[in-house]
Amino acid sequence: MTTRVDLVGLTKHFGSVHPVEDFSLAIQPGRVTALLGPSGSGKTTLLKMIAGVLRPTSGDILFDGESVVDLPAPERDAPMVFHNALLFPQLTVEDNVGFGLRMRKTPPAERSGRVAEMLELVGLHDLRTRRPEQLSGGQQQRVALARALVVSPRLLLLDEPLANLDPDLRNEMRELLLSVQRSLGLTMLLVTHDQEDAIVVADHVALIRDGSLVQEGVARDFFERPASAWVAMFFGAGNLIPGERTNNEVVTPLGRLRVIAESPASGPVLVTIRPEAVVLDAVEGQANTFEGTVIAAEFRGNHIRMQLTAGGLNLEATAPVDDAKGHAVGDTVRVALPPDKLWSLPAE
Amino acid sequence: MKSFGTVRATLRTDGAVHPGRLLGRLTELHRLALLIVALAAVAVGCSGGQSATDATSNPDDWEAVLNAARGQTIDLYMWGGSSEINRFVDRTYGPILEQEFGITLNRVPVADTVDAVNKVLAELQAGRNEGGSVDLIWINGENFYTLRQANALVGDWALQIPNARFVDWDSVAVNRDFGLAVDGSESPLGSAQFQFVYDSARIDEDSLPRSYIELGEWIAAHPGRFTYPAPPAFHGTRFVKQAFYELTGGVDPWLGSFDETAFVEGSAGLWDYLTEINPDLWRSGRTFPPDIASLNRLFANGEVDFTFTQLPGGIQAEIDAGVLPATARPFVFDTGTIGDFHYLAIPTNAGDSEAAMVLANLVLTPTLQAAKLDPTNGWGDGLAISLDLVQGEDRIALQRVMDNLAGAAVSFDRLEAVRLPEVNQEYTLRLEHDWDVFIRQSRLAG
Amino acid sequence: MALIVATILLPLVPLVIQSFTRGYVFPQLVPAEWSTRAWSIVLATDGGTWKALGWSVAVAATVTALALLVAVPAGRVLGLRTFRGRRVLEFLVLTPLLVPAVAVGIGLDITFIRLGLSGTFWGVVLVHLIPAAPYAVLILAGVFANYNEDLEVQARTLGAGPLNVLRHVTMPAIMPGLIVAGFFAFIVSWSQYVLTLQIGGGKVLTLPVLLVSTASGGDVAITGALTIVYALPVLALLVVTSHHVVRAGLGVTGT
Repeated sequence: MTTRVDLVGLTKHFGSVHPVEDFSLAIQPGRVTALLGPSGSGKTTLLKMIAGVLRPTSGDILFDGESVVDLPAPERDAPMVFHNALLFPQLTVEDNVGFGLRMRKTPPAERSGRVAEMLELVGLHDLRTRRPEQLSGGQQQRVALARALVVSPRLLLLDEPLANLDPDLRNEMRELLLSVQRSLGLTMLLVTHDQEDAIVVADHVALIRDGSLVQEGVARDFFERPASAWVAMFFGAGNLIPGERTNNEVVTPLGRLRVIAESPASGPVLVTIRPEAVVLDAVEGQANTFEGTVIAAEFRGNHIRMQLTAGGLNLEATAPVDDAKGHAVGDTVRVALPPDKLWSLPAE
Repeated sequence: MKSFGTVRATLRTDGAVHPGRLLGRLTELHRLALLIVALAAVAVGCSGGQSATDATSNPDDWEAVLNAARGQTIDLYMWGGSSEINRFVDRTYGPILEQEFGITLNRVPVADTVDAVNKVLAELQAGRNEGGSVDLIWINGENFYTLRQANALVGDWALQIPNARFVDWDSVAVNRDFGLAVDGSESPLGSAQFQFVYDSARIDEDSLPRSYIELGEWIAAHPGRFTYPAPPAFHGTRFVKQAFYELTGGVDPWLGSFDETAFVEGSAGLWDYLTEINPDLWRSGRTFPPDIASLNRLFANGEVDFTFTQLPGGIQAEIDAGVLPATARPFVFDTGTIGDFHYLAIPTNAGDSEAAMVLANLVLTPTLQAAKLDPTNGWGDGLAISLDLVQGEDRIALQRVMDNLAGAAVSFDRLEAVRLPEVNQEYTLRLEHDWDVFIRQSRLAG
Repeated sequence: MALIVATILLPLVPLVIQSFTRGYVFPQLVPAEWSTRAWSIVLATDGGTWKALGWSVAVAATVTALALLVAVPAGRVLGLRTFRGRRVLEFLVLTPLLVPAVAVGIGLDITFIRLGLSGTFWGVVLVHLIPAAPYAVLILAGVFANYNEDLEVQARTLGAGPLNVLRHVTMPAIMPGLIVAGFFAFIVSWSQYVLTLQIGGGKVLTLPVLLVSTASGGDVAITGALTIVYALPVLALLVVTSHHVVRAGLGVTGT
C-alpha cells in the first residue's frame, strides 16, 4: 500500500514552453511530500505527469522502482484531488465516492462497504444520498478526498486541495488530511503555493521554481538554511545583508558578522536572518552588535513588526506586543544578530 | 489555475510514437478534419453509380419502346398546386401504367414549372447528358421556349407516337407554342381557354360585361371591385393580351412576325385603357394580386367580383374543392378569349424517356381525354385531341361528356366561337415589359 | 410549461379550423361549411404526404446525427482551445449562416450533379448540413466554453477509460447542449425548402417541398391540413425539449 515514487529527470516541453525541466525527486513511502512553488512554476504539470494524464517529454517516473510512464492514467492508481472538488454533478455523494470502484468493477456489496467506510472517515456518512450541489465547499472537498481514498491508491495526488477554503475549513481539512495520513499510511504528494500548508501538512517539502527543484528537506531547513536568496525571500526571511566572507566572518556595512560555520558560500555572499531572530536590546558582550534606528513599527496582532535602519541598510525585526520598553519610531536601539541564526548564501 | 498544462491536458502531441496509438496522437483539429472528409466521402460513395441509359428508342418501333419502358420509373414534373389534378394523375394514369405497361409513375410536384426547367438546364450545364432526373414535364409557353431554345428537348417523337393520330397537328394552335414550331418536341396533354368567372349569387348574368370596353364601364361604375394578376403572372398577361387584341381591332394584324412600329402605335390605346381603369381597381390599382390563386381568394372572400379560369371543362372541380363558391360561373367576352394547348415534353437527358413516351401516348387515349375533361373527376381540362379525328365508341363517349358538363361551364360551341390564337412570343414579352413600365411603375410613381 | 405549450399550439388553431372547412372565406368568423375533405386528401395513402413525411424525418434525423457528430469535436476545439487561426475558423463556421441559401444552392447544384449527389438522399443531407452544422457547432462551442476538462482528468485518474469518461463525464455534462444543438439542427433541416428543391430536385420530396407546391394552388383547407402535418412533429419535439431550449434561450445551458 505504501509506494515509493521516484521522479527521474522529468521534463515536459510544449513547443517552446518548458514548464518542467529535469526534475528529480524521491517521494518517500507512507509520507506526505509537499511540492511547493509559486503559481506557474510547473507544479500541476508535474502532478499530471505523475497521474498519467500528461506524457513526459523525457525522464522517468518509478513506482517502487518500476517505470509507469507507459501505464495509462486509469491503471496507475494515483488519483488526483483538485482544489475545486470536481464532483460528478449527476451522481450522489455515495456514487461519487464509489466511482473509482465502479470503474474497477468491484462487486456492489464490497463497494458499498468501502464507500461507507470512507464516508465515515471523512465524516460525511449522513450526507451520502445528497447531490453535490447540496453540499458546502468544504463538504465537497471531503467527498473528493473520500472518492480518491476509496480506490486504495498507491499514491494520492493533491492539487491545491486547500486553496479554495476559508481559514476555518482550511484548518479542518489540514487536520483531516493528517488524520487520514496517520490512519492509512498513504504516500501523498501535495501541490501547494502556500508555505503554511506545506509546513503544517508535509513531512518533506520540495520547492520548485520555473520547473526545476531548488531545495528539498524538512520545513525548518527552508527557514533556517535556505539554499538561495530566492528561497529565503520565498519563506519571508526579510533581511539580506551583502558582504564578503572569509572563514566564519562576513564583512558587511554593519560591521564584521559571525555566521554559522556550515552555511555555504564564501567570497561575496548575502547574509540572512529571520526578523524574529533579530535581537533589539542587545546586552553587553553579545556578538554581532551595532546601533540602529527605528523607522517604523506596525502592530500585527501577535507581534510588532519593526523596521530599522543601520549602516545604510534596512532591517526587519519583531518585538513582542507587550514590549515594556516600547520602542518608538526614531528611537535608537542596540541590535544583535545571534551568530547561530545568521546564514550566508552565495550572492546572486 | 489555468496553466499551459491544463490547456493541453488531453493532447498527446509529443514523445515517442507507440504502435496503435497513432490515431490518438492526432490533434483534435486533425481528427475533426478527417471526420469531415470521411463524411463527404461516404456521401459521394453512397450516391455513386448513376445507371447509364441507352439512347432513346425510336418511337417508330412502338413495340421496342414498350419493351424498353417496362420496369422504368417516370419522373413526371408538374405543377403540384391542385390536389384534385394531382389525384387525377396519380389515380388515373398511375394504375394503368403499372398494370398494363409495367411502369411506375413518380409524380414530382413543383410550385412553379420553371423549377423543373432550371433543374434540366442545370444538369445539362453540369454535363449530365443522360440519366437525368426529369423524364417528362408538363409544360407550355415560355418554359417550352426556354428548353427548346437550349436544345434541351427530345424532338420529333410526339408526331410518331401511336395516339398522335388523334391530334390535329395541322392546327397552328397545336403545332406552334409561344411562337415557336413544336416539331414534335412536345406532345399535347390538354387545352385551355381563358374565361372570366363571376358569382351568380351577386351579379345578374344579363348585366355582365361582354367586352373590354364594357368591362371598363363596369369598373367605373363599381370602383374597387375588379383586379387582375400582375403580368408576367400567366392569367395577368393573358388578360392584358386579350385587351390588346380587342382594342386594336382584333388578333389578325398581330399574327405575323413582330412589328415594332405597329406595336407601339397599336398598344398606345391599350395603355390608355389600362391607365384609365387603374384608379378604380381593387386597392385603387396600387397593388395587384401576384397570381391566380390570390385572385381566387379575393373573389371567394367577396373582395372583388371577378376571377379567371383556364378550364374548358368548367370550374366544378374548383367549386368542389371550396376554392370557388358554389354559385361561381364562367363566362366569355363576345370579343374573344385566348385558347391554347399545354404539353408534355421529354428532356434530352431523361433517364426513362421510353416510359415518358408511353405516358405521353396514354394521355391522348380518347376515353382518358374524356375523363380528364369531366370536372367531376377533379380536373375539367380541355381536349388535346380533335373530336373530328376520333371515331366510333370513343367519339360517342367523348361527345357525351362534352354534352353533360356540369352547369359551371361555358358550352363548347360558345368557347370555340370566341377562341382566339396566341401570337408571336415577342408581343407577349413586350406586353409584359411595357405593362411593368406604363402601369405598375407609373402607379408607384403616382 | 403549460404556457409554453399553449404558446406553441395557439397559432395552429386557425389552421385547424381552416383545414376542416370548404370554401372558408375571410369575413366569416365561423365557417359556413365543415368538411373532412382536406384531411382525407392529405392523409390518403397515395397522396404523397406520408412519403414526404418519411423523407423529412429520415433527412432531418440523419442531418441531426451528422451535425452532432461534427459539432461535438468542433465545438470542443472552438470552446476549449486557443490556437492560431481560431478566429478564422470561427468565422468560417459562421459563413454558411451569412450566405443566402439560394446562392449556396445555385453554386452547389452543378457540383452536386457532377458528383452524382443531386437528387439523392445523401446529397440533400449534405446540403442541409451546410446551414444545420454551424448552429450545432456554435451551441456546443458555447457549452464547451463552460466545460472543465479537469473533470475528465479526475475521472481518468480514478480509473475510467475513454468510453467511461465519455459516458459518465462528458456526455452528462454536455447533454443539455447536445439536446438543444440537436433540436436546432433538426429544425434547420426540417424547414429547408430552397436547398432541398435545388439539390433534391423533387426526388427527395420533403414536406416543405410538398407544402410549397401545394400552397401554390391556393386551396386553404388542404394547405392548412398539410401545414399541421408539417408543424406537428416539430412542435412535439419542442414540447419534449422545451425545458432545455428555454434554458438555452436564457443562456444558462451547460455546466
